[in-house]
Amino acid sequence: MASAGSGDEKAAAAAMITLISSDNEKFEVTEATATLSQTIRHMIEDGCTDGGVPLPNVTSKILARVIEYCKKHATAAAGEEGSSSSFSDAAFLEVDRAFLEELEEFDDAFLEVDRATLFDLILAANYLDIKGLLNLTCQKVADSVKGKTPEQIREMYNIVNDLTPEEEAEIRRETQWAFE
Amino acid sequence: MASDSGGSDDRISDLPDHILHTILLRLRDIAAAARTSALSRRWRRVWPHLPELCFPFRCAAGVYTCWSESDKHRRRVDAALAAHAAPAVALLDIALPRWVPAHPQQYPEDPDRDDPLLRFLASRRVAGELRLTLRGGWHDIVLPPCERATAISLYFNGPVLRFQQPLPGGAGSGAFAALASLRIKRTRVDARELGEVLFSRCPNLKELFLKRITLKDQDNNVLSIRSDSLERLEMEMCVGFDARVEVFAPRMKIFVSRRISSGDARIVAPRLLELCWHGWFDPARHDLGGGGRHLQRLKIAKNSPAAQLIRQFYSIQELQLTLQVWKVG
Repeated sequence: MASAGSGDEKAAAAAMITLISSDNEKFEVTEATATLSQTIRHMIEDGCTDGGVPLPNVTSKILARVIEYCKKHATAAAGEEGSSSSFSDAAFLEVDRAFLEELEEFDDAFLEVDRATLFDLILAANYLDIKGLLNLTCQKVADSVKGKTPEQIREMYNIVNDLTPEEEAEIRRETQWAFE
Repeated sequence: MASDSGGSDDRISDLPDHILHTILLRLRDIAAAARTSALSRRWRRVWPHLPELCFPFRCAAGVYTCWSESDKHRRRVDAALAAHAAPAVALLDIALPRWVPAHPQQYPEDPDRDDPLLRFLASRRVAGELRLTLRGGWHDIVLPPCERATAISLYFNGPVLRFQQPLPGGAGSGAFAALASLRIKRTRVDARELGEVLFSRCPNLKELFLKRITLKDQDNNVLSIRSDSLERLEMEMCVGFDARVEVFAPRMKIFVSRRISSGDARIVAPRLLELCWHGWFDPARHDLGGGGRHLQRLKIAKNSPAAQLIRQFYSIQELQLTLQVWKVG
C-alpha cells in the first residue's frame, strides 16, 4: 500500500473511530477496519460513536490482537471491492492468489496463541460480531478436538466429568452409532 | 496471569451454546460432534441442538465392496436424526448410498413404515435448506410437505420422487409455503404430481431448476409448469427427453434452456426479460409466442438457428451470440 492519504483512499481513511478497551486504553482505527465488526458497524450507522466506542468486555491486550486481525482483513476486503480493469484478468488472478496465500499465512501466525488468549479472542469475536475471526478461532478449537477420545478432550480442556456411571452408560448407549 | 496452558479453568464449557455449535459444526463430522455428549452434563445438551445436520457419504471402494460402510452410514443417519432435538434446523444435507431395505415389501406400500428421515421431514423441523442425495436401491420416495423449507435440492439416482398428499385436517397447510428455490436433478418424477405441486402448493417459489429429470409415466408425456410466483426457470433435459413441455409463468423474468424437449414446448411468460437458449431452436416445435416481446438480454450458444429465435422478439437490448467456427482443411 502507498503512503497515507494517497488518492482513492482519502475518503475511507478520513473517518477514524476510537475504540476504548475495558482497561481504558484508546485505539484509533479507520472506519474500514472497525466495520469488520458488525456490532461497531451498527453503532456507526446509529451515529453513536462520538467520543469513542467503549468495549467493556474486551481487554487492551485482546483488543490489540483483534484490531491487528481486522486491519489485515479490511485491506483484503478493500482489495476485492476496488479491483478495476486496469490489469488483465490473468495478472489479477495472480495478485489475488498471492494475496490470499499471504492472508492464510497471516491467519496461521495469528492463531499461534496460548489457549487462554484463544478463548478471549473467541469471546471478543462473538461480542464484536466479527464472523471471520469467530470462524477462524472456532476452527482452531475444532481442529484440536478432532480425532480425540472424550477422555483426551476432557484432559486437554480441563473438563470435569460430572456424569454418574449410570448417566455415562446411558449416553454411550444413546450415541453408540457415533462410537462405531 | 494465566499460565500458557490456559490455566486449570474449564473455559470451553463456559462458552455459550451457539459458539459451541460453531465449533462442533467445524468438525464437519456429525459422529465426532455427537461423541462430545459423553464429556459432561453440560455437553450432553449441546450436540442435539446443532442448527445444521450434514451427512456426506464418500465411498472410495466400489458400491458392492463397501456394503457394510453403506449400511453403517444409513444407521448413523437414522440414529442421529432420531436423537436430534432442536425444534428447527437451518440445513439438512443427507447423502445416502445404494441401499436395499431389509423388508422390501415395506416400500412403498406401508404408509406407517418407520423411516427416521421421512419422519424428520414430516416433523417440519427443516426451516431452511434441504439437500437430499439418494442413490439406487430405493422405491418411491414420498416427500412430506416441508412447510418451512426455503430451498430444496433433490438428486435421486434411482428412486421416483413422489409428493405426499396433504392430509385433510392434518397439521399445517400441507403446502411448501416458504419454498423459494427448488432444484431437481437426475430424478424420475411423476409429471402430473410435480405439476400439481408447483401449481398449487408452492405459493412463493421463485427459482426452479430441472436438470436431466425423467418422467415416470411415458403415456402421460406432458410436463406442465404453471406458477404465479416463479421468476427464474432453468431447464436442462437429457438428449432423449421428448415430453411436451408447457410453461405458464406470468412473473417469470429469466428463462434458461440448456436443452429443452425434443418434443413440443410452449412458453408463456409475458414479463420475460432475459432468455438464454442453448442448443437447437425449432420454430415449428418451440413456441415462445406467449412470451414478452421486448427482451433485455438474449444469449444464444452453439449454432442454433439463431435468426429464427431473434425473430420472435420486437426488441432486444443486448445480444450475446456464441458461435462455433470449424476450421476446414
